[in-house]
Amino acid sequence: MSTFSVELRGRIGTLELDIRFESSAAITAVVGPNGAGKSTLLRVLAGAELAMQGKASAAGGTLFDSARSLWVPPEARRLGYLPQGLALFPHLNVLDNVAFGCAGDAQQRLSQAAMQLRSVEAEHLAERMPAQLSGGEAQRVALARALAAQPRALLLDEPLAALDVAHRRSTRAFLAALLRQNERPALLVSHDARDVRALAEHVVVLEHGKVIQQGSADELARAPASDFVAELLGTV
Amino acid sequence: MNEARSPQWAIALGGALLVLLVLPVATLVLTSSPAEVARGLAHPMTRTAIALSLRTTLLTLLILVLLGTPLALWLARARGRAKAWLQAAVELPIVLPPAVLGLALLMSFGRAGVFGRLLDTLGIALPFSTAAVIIAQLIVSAPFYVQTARVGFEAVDENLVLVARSLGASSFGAFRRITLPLASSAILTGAALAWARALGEFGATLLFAGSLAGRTQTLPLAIYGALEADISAARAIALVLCGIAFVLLVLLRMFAATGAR
Repeated sequence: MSTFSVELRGRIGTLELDIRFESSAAITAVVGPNGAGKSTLLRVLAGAELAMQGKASAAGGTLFDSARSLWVPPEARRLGYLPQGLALFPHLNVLDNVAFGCAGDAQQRLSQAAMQLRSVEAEHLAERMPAQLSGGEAQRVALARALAAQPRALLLDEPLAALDVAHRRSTRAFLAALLRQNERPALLVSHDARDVRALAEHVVVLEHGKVIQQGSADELARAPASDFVAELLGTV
Repeated sequence: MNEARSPQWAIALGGALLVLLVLPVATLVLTSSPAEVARGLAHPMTRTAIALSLRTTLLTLLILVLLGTPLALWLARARGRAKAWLQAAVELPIVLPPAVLGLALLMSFGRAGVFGRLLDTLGIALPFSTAAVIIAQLIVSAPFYVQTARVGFEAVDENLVLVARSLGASSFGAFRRITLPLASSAILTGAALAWARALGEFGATLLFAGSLAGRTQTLPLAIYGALEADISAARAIALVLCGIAFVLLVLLRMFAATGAR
């Protein structure tokens, strides 16, 4: 069964998008140079209202299908979306951020949120405001918030980009363990070969709005289809 | 401290303007005796006008928040040429003289006006009614509220809204829980500016609603009316408006401070 299936055509500013790929991997990485359309792809999958044609599904659930005039609103897609910069709600403390997507009455939501914070080892941050968090802490909180809503799949846009080198390695290992343990398919945008190799079984390369190559990191490294792929993954 | 000092030529030229801005109001306040103010406030015309102004401006503000907030959100999320046209339409009452707006209101909703005749057959007569006062206030104050709220909404990262939606919030739920609280200082600033403008509205009201005590004679119109009869009443009303303006200025500074945090 495919975890992500995407067929997307449209235009964002000057960028002509024509993205087609299918992945059955638990974690799929999307790589490509700046401006290739990676973040736009994630935003469209998350439910941003952009004029796009085509269809897409994630973890068995249809997200949209323009031929059938079907567009599932973002709140019904059940996708955990982590944009670049994480988008923690700045006016809510950490606990309320995580409780935002929980179900039940106020008491149940807070206790679920506290439990989710424990699972990412961030329960001590509950009372802090997002502005008071370090990059790594904000990362964990954003993950806890996404997971607390019980998503079908995760959309992660450069989840490790804001971290310094020392935290990056430990957070990468943490993220890898968390994703495997949760058994939720994830689509991960990254421009770091170490993230891609450590996390993803399937890699989709986007350039100028089009998929130019896909496969495992090793397959791509053996026969890179562009200078970018060769540069990113190195030749074996 | 290593802050650059303001250049002296700027202080000299700008200071001249500053004196002009403050001097007349300061004179009005400082030359009024408490006894005169008390006498003016006791004048029946004053109290009627205060009550009418409060009633109409608060109703104007309520309508503005209910309808202007969605318009501001629409503007904030609009793109391209549509946005430019929408903006221009909203800004029209700022650049048009109030007298022109008053005349335009008479031409459309006056007894003989295009829509006025239609309303007349339904038994509704807008001109020279309290409703006409509110319509005039709405038109002149709406741009201040809508544009300020729009800037506040535009400053809210669209990704925050998309994340809120992906966490299960409906379009309105994400607006209420994320966009609205994050834009609250801009909304309060817009509401204060719009209220000040509604409270001071004179020209369009005079033409479209007239100056009938207790029905359409708001505070600015009462000042104009009192000038011919009792100057002390005019001064008392002016001082009341100065007091309100001062409170609004303080509030605006406070909103600006919370918004900048």
